Amino acid sequence: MLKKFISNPVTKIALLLLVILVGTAALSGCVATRGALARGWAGGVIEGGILYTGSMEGNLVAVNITDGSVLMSVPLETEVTSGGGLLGCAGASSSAVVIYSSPVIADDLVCVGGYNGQVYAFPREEAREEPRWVYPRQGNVGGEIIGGIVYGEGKLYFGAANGKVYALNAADGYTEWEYDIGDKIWSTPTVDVDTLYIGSFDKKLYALDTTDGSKKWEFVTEGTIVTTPVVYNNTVYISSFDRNLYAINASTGKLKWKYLVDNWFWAKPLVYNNTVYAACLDGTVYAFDAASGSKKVEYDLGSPVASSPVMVDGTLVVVTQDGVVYAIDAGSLRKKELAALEESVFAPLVESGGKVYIHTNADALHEVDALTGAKRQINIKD
Amino acid sequence: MEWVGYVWDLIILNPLINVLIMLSSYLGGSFGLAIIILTIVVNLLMYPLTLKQLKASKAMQTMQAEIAEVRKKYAKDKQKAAQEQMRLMKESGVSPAGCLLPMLVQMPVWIALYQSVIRLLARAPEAFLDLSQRLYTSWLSVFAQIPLESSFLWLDLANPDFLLAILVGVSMWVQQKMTTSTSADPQQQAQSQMMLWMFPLMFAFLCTTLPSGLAVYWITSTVIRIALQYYSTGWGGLSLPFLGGGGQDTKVKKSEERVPRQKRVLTEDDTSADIVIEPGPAQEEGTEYGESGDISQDSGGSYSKGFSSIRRQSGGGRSKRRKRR
Repeated sequence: MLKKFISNPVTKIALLLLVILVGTAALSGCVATRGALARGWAGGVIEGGILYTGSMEGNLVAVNITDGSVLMSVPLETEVTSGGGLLGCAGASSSAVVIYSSPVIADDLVCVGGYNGQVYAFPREEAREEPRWVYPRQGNVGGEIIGGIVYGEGKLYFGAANGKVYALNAADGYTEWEYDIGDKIWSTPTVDVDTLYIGSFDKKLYALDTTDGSKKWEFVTEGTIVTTPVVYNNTVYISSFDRNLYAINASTGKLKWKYLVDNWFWAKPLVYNNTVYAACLDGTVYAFDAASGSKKVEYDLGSPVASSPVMVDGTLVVVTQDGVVYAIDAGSLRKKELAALEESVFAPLVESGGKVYIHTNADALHEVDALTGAKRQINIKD
Repeated sequence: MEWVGYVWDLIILNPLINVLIMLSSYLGGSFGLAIIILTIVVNLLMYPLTLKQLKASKAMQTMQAEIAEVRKKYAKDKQKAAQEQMRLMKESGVSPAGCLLPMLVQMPVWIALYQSVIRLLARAPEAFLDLSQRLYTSWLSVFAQIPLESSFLWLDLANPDFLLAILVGVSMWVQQKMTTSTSADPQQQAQSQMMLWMFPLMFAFLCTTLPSGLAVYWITSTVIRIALQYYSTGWGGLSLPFLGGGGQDTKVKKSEERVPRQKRVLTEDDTSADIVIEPGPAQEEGTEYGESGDISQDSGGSYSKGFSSIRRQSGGGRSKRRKRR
């Protein structure tokens, strides 16, 4: 009967359409979710000639940047998590913890936040796979940790997608205070003296007292804030999904100026010699006067920039999403192409000794000389 | 093939994404409402095609008995059988493309809506970077609307919802039932039954694995199609007590009455050498389609000529329907 059922022309048409529909939906879903799957893009931190980063395999990796050898590669978690649904296209089950948060050095510890909502603290001097502590001790904070962690005066500060800002005692990983914003936080906080600045999905920038977490002021924008604030000359520079770059008085929370562009600023702005450099997803790097907000110059790089740039001896090094590295001389304002990595890049850049380290979406670590553009690839995969 | 994706994004996907965001903005930030409104608009725009498809599907179904007889007769000559089938369809004003074409036209819209919903409800940071390249710079507020509100009624539109999956299955069953006509042929009846359950179950299952935003789209679309179908062909095969026994409802009968009788009368001259089509006794009796309870003709007069029976010229063997008469 099934044979006859299938041989029926109406059935044939219906089945054909169903197969096309489901197949296309599945394929397009995979394509759609491929971009939507959390893979991570951790930047790095360099201390004592060792670069620490989070790999896309979910490992905290320590690399000797002199010889490129991997000193440590520790998986953050080994428990098997569930895979995706029929069309979820999540692929095989994986034990990897996705890492967006760049590691941070806290005295003798290297700390990193995971997309699984946990913070891990590993001793730097001991090559062992057990963290000294994990926060929280059981379970997770109740939301992903996407922004980075900052360290200051014995405390670790970070925000999570559960809407809370945390201050932990770095030595033991216990809570010093927490502040409930009530909406997702992807932004990396910035600490300046005794004030912590952090943005939220609720479209506000918050200034919190680092001693007890009390709110000093808040500034409302018209869009979600996911970027890292920068403090310079008592001014906080922050961008929002309303496509503006804001300059806000760090003491009062009052607006100084704002500048509207064509897309989001995802990368952290950088201030150097009274000039704010802001790389944008519209493929342009803008240079503004830090005090007035007037645009000095803009550079069309032809591809979105999500990766936070670095300043190396007066040269701004920027990498576009499609992996082209540019050097912009802050004095002459000249731009030149340094290198083409041919891999996409979202992770923030790290600088040390005239070299720039770039963690690509192919999970490769590239070293690029900021002056000559000479490249070296360091393998961080297991 | 990269250009295909580029063109698809440029003319279908990206406009849809931006429209959904703006709709959501105008509807108080409710993405669920935006999906519903857009689905209604899209379905209304495609109404002529949908209507054509409904009629063609219905006509195809009603011809199954005749097609089966042709197949039986030319079981050893498939080419001839195909020719005869085509001739039958042509004479009846029915084309398989009538079913296929409207659905093919609608499919890109369904797929684009699916992709839009998936992208707009994605939660990973990578999805935001992808989305940033799809938003219209000239539409100032679209950027500020991201991320969209994913909660709607009891749903998190980004996650599957079991209850909604059931509702999708039920609504699709109702719609399928409306298009399914009763048949005296047990084999055809079994086929109809399988179709009746296969699609709803399959889509219900899919909805348990996909974002419920998509299920909102499916259920809205199905309800609209049920309404359109009721408007054009009545309750069809749906037989429920509160519908007064359902089945062949008054809308169909009324529409049949509007069809001029002379249009449906065939003469010997209309037949080919192989098949003779006779005016059936139903016509002689003043009814249009033979047995009562087997009425499945659509209202639009897709059949310019009615076929009450097909007799083999050589053996004079009558169709089962004819024999039962």
